[in-house]
Amino acid sequence: MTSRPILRSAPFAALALALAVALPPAVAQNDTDNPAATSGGIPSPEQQKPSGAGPERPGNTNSRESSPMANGASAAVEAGAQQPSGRLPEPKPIPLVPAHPVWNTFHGQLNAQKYSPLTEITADNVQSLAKVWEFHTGDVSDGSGKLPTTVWSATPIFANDTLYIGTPFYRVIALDPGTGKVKWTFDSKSTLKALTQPALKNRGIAYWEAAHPVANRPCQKIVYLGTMDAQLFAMDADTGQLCRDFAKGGVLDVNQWNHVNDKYPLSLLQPPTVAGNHVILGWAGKDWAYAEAPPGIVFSLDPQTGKRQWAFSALPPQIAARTGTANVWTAMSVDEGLGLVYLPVSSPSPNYWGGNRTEPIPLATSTTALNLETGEVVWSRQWVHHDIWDYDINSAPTLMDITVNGKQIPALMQATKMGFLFVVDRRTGKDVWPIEERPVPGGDGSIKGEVYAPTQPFPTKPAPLLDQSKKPPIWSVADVLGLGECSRLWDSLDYKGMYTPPTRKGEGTFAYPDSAGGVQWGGVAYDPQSKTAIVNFSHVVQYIKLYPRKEYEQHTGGSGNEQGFYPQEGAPYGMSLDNALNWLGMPCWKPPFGEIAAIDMRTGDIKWRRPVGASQKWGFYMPESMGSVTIGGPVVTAGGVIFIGASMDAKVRAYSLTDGKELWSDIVQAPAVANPAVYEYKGREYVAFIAGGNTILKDQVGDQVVVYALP
Amino acid sequence: MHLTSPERRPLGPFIVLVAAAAGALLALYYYLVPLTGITGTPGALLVIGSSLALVVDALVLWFSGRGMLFGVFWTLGLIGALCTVTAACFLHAWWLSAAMVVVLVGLVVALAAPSRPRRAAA
Repeated sequence: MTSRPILRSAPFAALALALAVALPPAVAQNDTDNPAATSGGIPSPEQQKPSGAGPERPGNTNSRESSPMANGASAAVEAGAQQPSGRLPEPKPIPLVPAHPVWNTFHGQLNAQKYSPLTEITADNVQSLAKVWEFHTGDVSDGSGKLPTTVWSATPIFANDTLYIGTPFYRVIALDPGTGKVKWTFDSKSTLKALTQPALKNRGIAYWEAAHPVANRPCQKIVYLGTMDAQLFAMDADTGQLCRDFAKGGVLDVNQWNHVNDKYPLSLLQPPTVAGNHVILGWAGKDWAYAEAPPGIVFSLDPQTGKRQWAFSALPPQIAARTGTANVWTAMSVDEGLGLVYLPVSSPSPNYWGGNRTEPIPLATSTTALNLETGEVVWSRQWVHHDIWDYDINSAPTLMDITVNGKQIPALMQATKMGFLFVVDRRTGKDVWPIEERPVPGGDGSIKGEVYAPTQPFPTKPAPLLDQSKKPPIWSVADVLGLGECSRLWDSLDYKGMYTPPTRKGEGTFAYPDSAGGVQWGGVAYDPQSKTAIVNFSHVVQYIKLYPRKEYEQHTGGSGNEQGFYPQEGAPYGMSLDNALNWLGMPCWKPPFGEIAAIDMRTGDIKWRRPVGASQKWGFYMPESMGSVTIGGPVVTAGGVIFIGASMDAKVRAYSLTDGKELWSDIVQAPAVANPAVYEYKGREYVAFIAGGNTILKDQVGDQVVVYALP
Repeated sequence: MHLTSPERRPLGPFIVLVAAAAGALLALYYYLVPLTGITGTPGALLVIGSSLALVVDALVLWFSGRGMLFGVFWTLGLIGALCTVTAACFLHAWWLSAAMVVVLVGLVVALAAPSRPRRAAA
């Protein structure tokens, strides 16, 4: 169900005029394949001049206190960044929710709702769900041999009557959706080295098909696979043969555009976002390693030729070389009707010190809406000013049409690591419920060169998923067994709320939620029938400390995934990040460790919340009332069922949409850290999970594709 | 060779022996077979070890008569069975938990059974 009354009533002439005004700056932002003309894809300062005031000022954050850094518009002028134009493209009659069941993108649909209208499996019969087939790819490593460990977060794509799987060995496997029988495989023969991320990772593949296919010509339907060494492969979806017209023989070297701070390749671990005639690429980098890193450019490509259509960088060109990233780690969402692509933009480099980027960077740590055809910034909302906490926006915003106080609003919900859910009008970026700028603590004077944002945005609705105003209570069991270790740690760490800046004093800063907490890349699912948003989130406490360079170099110690010592090379400070655990490895904070919640999007109120999954260590399960840290997200169906894996205990579960009651579960090979896929094939409804594991949760890996249906 | 009374089998130690052996086999199953939820985990390895220890404990109880050795190994058996049943519950190894409950029953039977004359080895 979609409702865009304003767009429907907009006169054609006004739109034509708006387009005429919008087109020149949009075209100016466009670039070509000529790397010399557009080094690194970053638009030049001339190209980044403000494109004129749009009809809407980006955002309307309410300031309780004057905040120059928090003011998006003035900050953008100061920094010479891309000014949001506010100009909407001409609308198209494309509904937000597809008329037929589709699961052809990373998040099911381009709206990122992860919603299936299928009703064969319901809350009443889901208990009968049974495994109908499973497939093991063989592409798995536990890190004990020559290969790095694998992390597999790929949601299967159902398209062309085929289930397509990308693997962490950078292969594509096309499977019969009803039986799991292999149709074809493609091997990129990519290097299997951890060039950027500490593991071999794959978050899936993407699918495109021509609106008007040419008969008897290959590559009218294409599957795209990215690799860690920045190669994008395009192959015929029917045969798995490379599309020879795409770039060079079917392979695009995206690293050809890596010119600024090219310390590592632009790893294509997440699938591109495919919308209309655009294949839109973000890329993954190397966290916490460098102060100066490649700028996080997003590229739009022609789906059949690989020719670059436009590029976008959140970093102003005059700042880009001395910082970096502000990249897009995950899939994006698209409203094809509005002609906008929504980018979840991450924080600039380095993650925990900002002395090299004291100017405002208003498009970083943001949701930014681009014109799908031109890449022009239409609006942007920054969710963390001067981010020095690694609060990357890491999940695609979920697009939804809601009615609040009798008013129909085309909205989007942006989930965050902070446990905030920001809801704005997706045409303008304006608040649906007020988002207030509130004062936050400054530094303690121990960090040279740092500046601090005086305020940060706080949503008033929905309520924060976590209470970030004070330290969470200590888990007495862990404290007793740790002989008071947890209490001592709590007392030694500074915390004045979530935005307490990193310090070099004492044991460091208490980090809650931290970069691994809150909502991760699974994002929010949305049921358009009951207007209910579903989100899983984690309670994780870590602590961060900065070390002056010489002191840092004196430290030795391993650095695991998401914790340990990290150099931030090029910055005056290295850093450490540790989980708050006792000597037995038990979390020091009181459970639950992970929850799932349902939110009524008519009121913004939480309908229910409950612990999700179970924690597991050395095989021992903790009570389900304690929940589990989760990575991966939910899907929701019109049958009133929520499916989710995501938890440490390597189980996949079904919950009731109505009340959150657990209805069904099964054990899989490893934690299912990808969102499930729900599809219909030959009249039967299937639910597919990838059980691949993620070392952030625990050292358990898998190569299992497992599919369930009713008997 | 008559190590015990030819008239009566020591029922308690026999129950402990059978249940502990079954527990060891179940623990091996949980450890080795895919998709048990605890396949290849240290926790499953631990209960394999504790179940095997209970098998040894049952043999000692069988042959030890009613002396101090019986008391010591009965106590060790009780602790081992309680710890194993607790571990099995946390491992969600429900069949192993059931086997350990039977071990506990066997220990109670062994304690409650009337004392019998101990024969020397032939």
